[in-house]
Amino acid sequence: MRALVLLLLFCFSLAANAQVVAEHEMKAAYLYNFAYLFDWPESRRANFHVCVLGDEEVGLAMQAYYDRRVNGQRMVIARLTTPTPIRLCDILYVGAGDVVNLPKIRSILGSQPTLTVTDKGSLHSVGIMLALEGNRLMFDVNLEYCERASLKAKPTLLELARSVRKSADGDGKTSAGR
Amino acid sequence: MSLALALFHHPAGAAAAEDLADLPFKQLVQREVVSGSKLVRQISDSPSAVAIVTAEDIRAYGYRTIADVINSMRGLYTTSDRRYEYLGGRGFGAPGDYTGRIMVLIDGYVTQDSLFNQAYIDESGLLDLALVERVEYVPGTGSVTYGNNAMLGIINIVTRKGSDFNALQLSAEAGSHDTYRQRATFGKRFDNGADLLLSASAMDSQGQNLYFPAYDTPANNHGWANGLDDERNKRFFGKFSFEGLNVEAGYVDRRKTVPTKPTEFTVFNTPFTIEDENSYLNASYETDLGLQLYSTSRFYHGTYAYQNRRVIDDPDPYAQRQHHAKWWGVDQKFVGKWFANHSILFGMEYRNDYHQNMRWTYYTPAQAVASDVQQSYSRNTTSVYMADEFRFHDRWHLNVGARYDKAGDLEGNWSPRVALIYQPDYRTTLKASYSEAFRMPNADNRASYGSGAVPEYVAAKELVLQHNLDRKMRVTGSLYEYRRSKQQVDLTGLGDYAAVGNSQAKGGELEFEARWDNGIRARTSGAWQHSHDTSGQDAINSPNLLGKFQLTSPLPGEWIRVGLEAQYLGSRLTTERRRLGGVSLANLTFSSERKWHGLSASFSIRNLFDRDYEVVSPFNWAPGTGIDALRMDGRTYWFQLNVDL
Repeated sequence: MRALVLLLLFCFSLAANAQVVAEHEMKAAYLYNFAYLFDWPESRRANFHVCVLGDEEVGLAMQAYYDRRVNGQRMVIARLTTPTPIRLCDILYVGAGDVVNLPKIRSILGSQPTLTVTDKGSLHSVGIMLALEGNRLMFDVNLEYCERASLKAKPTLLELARSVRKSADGDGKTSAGR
Repeated sequence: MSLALALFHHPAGAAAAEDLADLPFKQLVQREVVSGSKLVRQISDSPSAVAIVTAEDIRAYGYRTIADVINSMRGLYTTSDRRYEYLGGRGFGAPGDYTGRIMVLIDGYVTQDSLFNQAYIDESGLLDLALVERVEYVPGTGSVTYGNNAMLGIINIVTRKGSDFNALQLSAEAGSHDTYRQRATFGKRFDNGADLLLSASAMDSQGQNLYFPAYDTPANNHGWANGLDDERNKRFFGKFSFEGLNVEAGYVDRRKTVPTKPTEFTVFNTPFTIEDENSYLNASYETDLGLQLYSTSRFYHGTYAYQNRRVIDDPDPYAQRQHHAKWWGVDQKFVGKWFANHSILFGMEYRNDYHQNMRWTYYTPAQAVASDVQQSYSRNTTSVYMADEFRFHDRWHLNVGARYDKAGDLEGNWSPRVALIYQPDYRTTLKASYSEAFRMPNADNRASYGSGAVPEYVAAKELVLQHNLDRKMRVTGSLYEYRRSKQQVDLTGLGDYAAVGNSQAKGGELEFEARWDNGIRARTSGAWQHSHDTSGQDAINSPNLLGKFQLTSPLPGEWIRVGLEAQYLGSRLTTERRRLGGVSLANLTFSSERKWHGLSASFSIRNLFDRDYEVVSPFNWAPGTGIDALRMDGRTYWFQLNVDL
C-alpha cells in the first residue's frame, strides 16, 4: 500500500508540472479576441470596455488584458457585481452566476452595440455563446442579435464558429457550419 | 497527507495569459483546455449540502452503475443482496427497505415505480453511466418540491447531450465473472441548435458459483449455489432537444437469477429468476412568457413490470409473481421574478397511477394452477406548490415553501420547508433549515397492511456550512437530525402491523474537495451517524462511521489518468443485532485522458486488496445460527474500449 501511494505521489508531482490552459483563461482570451473580430460602430470613447458579470474567475483572468490597445482604444476591464451599469460595456460576459438575469440584461441593452457573451443559457438571448465540447472551447454566433446591435462579425469569426444562427428573415447568408 | 497537498499545489502558470494574447485566434481555438479548474457548482436549488459527481469523475473512478456513484458520496453507502442494490445513509437503509425513501430523478422525471416505490440504481436502472453528465445528491427531505416519497433526499441525474458525443460511439466492456456489455451511442448537434442522442446497450454476465455458510448441509449441496448468479439487461435511451423543448424516453429490462434464499419458503439452490422492466417518456417545454414570468410544462408516462419464478417449500412447489404498473402525469410550473428581491415559484401537478396490478400464482408439481390471486389498485394525486426565495438583505435570504398533496384515497397533506441562508462573504455560506416530508403507502403496502396502510412522516433539521478556502478548495460541513413517525411496527412478531413506530437519526458530515489546474482532483469526507429504530435500539445496518477518499491525476505525458478511491464502512448491526466489523475497500482505475484516433479506454480493479468482507443481509438466513450476513465479491477487473466513428 505504501509503495503504491509513493508511486502515485511521484506520478502526480510529475504531472503537476505539465503546461495546460485552464477554461477561464481561455474564455478571457476569447473575449479579448472578439474585440478584434467585430467591426464596432464609431465610438467617441477613449476606452474599450470589457465587462464581466457573474464569474469571478473569468473576471480575474481578464485583468491580464488591461491596458492593451484595441482598434486605437485602450482596453479597460470592469468586474461587475450587478447588471445596472452594463450600458457602458462594449463586450459583456455573463457568467453562470448571472445567467438568470439575461432577459433583464437584454431589455436594458435594447439594440445598443454591446456584444453579450455567455456559456450558459441559450444562444437566442446573446450574441455569442461559448461551449466546452470535449476539451475544446467552441462558440456559436447569433447573427440576428449582432445585426440588431449593429455589430458586424468578421469572416474569420464566422469561419471558426461551431455554428451560426442566421437572422430570422433568412436572407440567404450561408452558415459557416463546421 | 499535508506533504501530498503541498506537492499538488503548484500555482497555475501566471504567464499563460501573455502567451494566449499573442496567439492568432485561429490557433487559439485549436488549443486544448482543461475543463473548469473551479469546483463544480450545484444545479439543484436546495438549502442543503449537495454532493456532485460529474462525467469526468465517472470516467476517472470507473463507475458502472448509479450505485457505484452513490457509494462514492459523502455519508451514503449501498448494500447488495445479490438481487438489488439498496441505498443507505442518515439513519435510513434498513435491510430490505427498497431504495424508495430516497427519490431518484432523471432530468426531472421521478423514476420510482408505482408499486414498491423502488428506485433502480443497479443494472436494473434506466441509464448506462456513459450517458450521465452529472449526479447530484441533495440530502434532506424534498417533499416541498416533489411531494410523496422524498423522505431522505433526492438523487438528481442529468443526462449528457448529443453534442457531448458528436459521433457514433461503439463501446465494448469485459469484466470478471464472464461479464460483457456492448453499447452503441449516436449523438449529434445540428446547425439549427437541435440536439439528438440515441443509445442502446446489452449486458450479459455469467456470474459465480457462490458459497453460503448458512446452508452448509449435505442436503443443500454443502451450501453451494452453482450457476445461479447470471444477469443480463437491455437498455434504450433517446433524447431530443430544440430551443425550450426536451423529449426523452428510456427503457430497461433486467433479468437476474437470485443465488440466495430470499424468503423463508424458497428452496436453496433452485432457480429463482426475477425480471424488472422499466420505461418512461418525459416531455417538457420551457418558455419565457414575458412580464418576468417563466413557465415549464411537463408531461410524463411510466411503466413498470416485475416477474419472478421460484421453487418453494410447499405441496404446490412452483410460484410466480407478475406485477404491472402504469402511470402518467402533468406538471405546470411558473417562476415569477416580478420583485427585485423575490423569486417566486408556483405550480401544480396531477398524477394518475391508473394501473397497479399484483398477481400471485402457485402451481402444482404437475405445473397446473393451484391458486391465482390478483389485487388491483389505482390512485389520483393532485398537488399544488409554492416557494419564495426572499433576499431581504445583501447577505441574508429566506427560502419558504410548501406543497399540498391530495390523493383520492388519503387525507390531504402539507409538506412545509423553511430555510435561512447567510453569506457573510462570497466564500462562505451558512444554511439552516427545517422541513417535513411524507410517504404515501404504495400498492405493495396496501396489499400487505390493508386498511392499516397509512402515510409515514419525517421532520428534518439541518445546519450546513460551506466555505471556499480559495477557488480550488472547498470545505462542507453539516449537522442533521431526522425524526420519523407513523412507521409500521410488527406488534406481536407474528405480522400484526400497526403504524405506531417512531425513530430518530442524527449525525454530522465533513467534506473537503479540491481541484487544481494541472488536472488533479481530490475529495475526502467523513460521516458520523447515530440512529435508533422503532424499538429504541441502535438501528440495523446503520454504520456509525463512513469515510470516503478519492484522488485522481493525469500521469506524465497526459495520456492516461489514474483514479484511486478508498471507502470505509464502519461497524453496523445485523438483523440479529450482531455487530459486523468495519471494512476498508479500495478501487483503482486507469483511463485514457484523451482520444487517440477516436479510441478511448478504461481499466478498473475493484476491491484492490481482495478484502474478504460481509454486508448485512435482509433475509432470515438461518435464524439462531448467527449467520445473517452476506459475503461480497473479492477483487474484480473491468475493461472498457470505446471507438468514435
